[in-house]
Amino acid sequence: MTLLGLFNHWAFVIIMMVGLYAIIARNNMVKKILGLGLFQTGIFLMYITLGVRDGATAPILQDDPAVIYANPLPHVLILTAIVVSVSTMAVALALAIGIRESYGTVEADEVAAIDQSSQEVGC
Amino acid sequence: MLNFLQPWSLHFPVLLVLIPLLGGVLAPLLGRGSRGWAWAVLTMGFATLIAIEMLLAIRAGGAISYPLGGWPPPFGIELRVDMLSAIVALVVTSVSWIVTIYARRSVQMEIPGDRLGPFWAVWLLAITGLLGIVVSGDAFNVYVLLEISSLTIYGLIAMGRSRDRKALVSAFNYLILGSIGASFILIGIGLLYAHTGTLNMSDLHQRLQANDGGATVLTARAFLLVGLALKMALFPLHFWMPAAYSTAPSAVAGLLSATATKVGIYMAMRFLYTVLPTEGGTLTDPNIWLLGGCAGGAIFYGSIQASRQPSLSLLLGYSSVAQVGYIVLGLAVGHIDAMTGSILHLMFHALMKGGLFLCAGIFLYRLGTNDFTQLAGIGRRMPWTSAAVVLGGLGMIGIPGTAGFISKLHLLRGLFLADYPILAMLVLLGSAMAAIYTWRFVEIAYLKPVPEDAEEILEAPFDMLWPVWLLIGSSLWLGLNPAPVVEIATDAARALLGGGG
Repeated sequence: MTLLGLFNHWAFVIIMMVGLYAIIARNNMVKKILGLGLFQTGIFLMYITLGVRDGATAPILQDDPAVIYANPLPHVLILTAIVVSVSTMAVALALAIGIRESYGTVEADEVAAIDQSSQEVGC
Repeated sequence: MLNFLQPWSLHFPVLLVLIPLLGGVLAPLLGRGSRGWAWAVLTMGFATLIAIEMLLAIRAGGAISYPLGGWPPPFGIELRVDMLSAIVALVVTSVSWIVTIYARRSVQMEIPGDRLGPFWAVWLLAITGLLGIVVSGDAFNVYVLLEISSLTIYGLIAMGRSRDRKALVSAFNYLILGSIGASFILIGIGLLYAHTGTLNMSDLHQRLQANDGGATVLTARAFLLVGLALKMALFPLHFWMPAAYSTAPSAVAGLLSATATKVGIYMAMRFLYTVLPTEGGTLTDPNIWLLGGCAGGAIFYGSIQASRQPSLSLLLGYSSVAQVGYIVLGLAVGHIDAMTGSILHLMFHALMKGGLFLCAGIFLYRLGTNDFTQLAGIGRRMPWTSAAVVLGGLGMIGIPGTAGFISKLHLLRGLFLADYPILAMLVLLGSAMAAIYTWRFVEIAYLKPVPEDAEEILEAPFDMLWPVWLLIGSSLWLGLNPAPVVEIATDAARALLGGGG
């Protein structure tokens, strides 16, 4: 296989790494959540790529034995993973709203500083 | 077998998941007050009964395979329960049942009244996910159930916000790390599927054993190892755990320490020995040293951190980091005695640490805090609770007569017989350090004077105290009568190592 033939794999790794970088390097919690979403989207691309075959059609039962089908199983799996990812985002955003309500900010370093100073006061 | 369960006996594996699932869905309909709690106790009691019957059935007749919807494996989803799954299922159901019984007062104090219905729903759903992982025989199914349990656990931790707003931050950090871990597991499973074209665990293992697939499977192994290490809080990927356990509602901390990390360890055993290719039933050298090194680091670092924490909850959280180290050490070397010790420690630690976290919850209930500065002289003010903490601590050290001694004995024998004396030394060192952090509690609780301005406080109410003593007491009883549990743990270890070892 040529290097370019692995285009989808390169793409999924790059998308994942962009997401991971955002999770690590961004201070804003909402941006971290977006990074997480990007990270998981990269994995969807990997699974979808697994089902691809050259010249394949949709996996619908036909009488002609010469028709090649794409493998439907990875697509079904990733449908579940997409649902999981959406729920994860929902829970994460709910937590971010809660943090904003009780701290007044969603910047990770400001939240840490508030916790630090309340510990020193001793409450 | 109990007569009324007889007609259902074929369906035990799926019932174990369905009962808490249905219980969880119905819980919010019961509204405020104690009704949701009573419902959760009932549900978990029934699930425990089924787990006991299932363990007995497997002991008599071997592993159970349950084709979901009647589709035969490897095409359909298979639930597969062997000795190890049955043991972990029993630990999860029984300990969470006892913690649920304990939880009524502490949850009513820590959770606002209008959230109680949803709280019990999420509580039961988290247990559903954990039990699902334990009975599932399908790799992708495990991922989905893992996310069900993880998402509900983030919610449970965040409910600690009305006591301490830091719960939100620790839940958020755990969510980010936990999702990355779960995504890594998802990638690993995807790569295994790409190589073999199957998702059924026993089918995967057979195909990988025949053709170990070079780089693809090696990459899958790397992703799975990192993902699992995050999920079971193995050093150096443990950051989230002490923070999450110390800010979560106290009953939730008890539940998680006894069940969630244990199920993470169960997954590691499952994937390393019965999914990924092994070499004659054991791991290869680089794997052993990688896991052994992390486990050794966990024991050392966790014990040091535990002895310098400012509160009992944090001490227990870091002590859990160390205890995960022992269990992983035993599962890494692949010797039958070490594996037995590992499975025994998994059971005993669930009992002891569950009980200890509940004690921390009682201090919180009576004093509003479990910082050590406020606990001075507590041994005279709340003698029963403090005695339970000390006995649990002795179990952590592994004093002869406690359950911790039995599991560490097997672990040590396995490590010496498998010729890893350095790792065995670490176990002994860790036990000595456990003595240091247990002594710290003894010193504060019994040797320091009660502060003069301290308010008059009562011993914990009886309905919180007896579940704690049931957990701690059963760990002591098992320490004195270990034969039956050692026998089933040895069976499970032998099955895991493929009859050899």
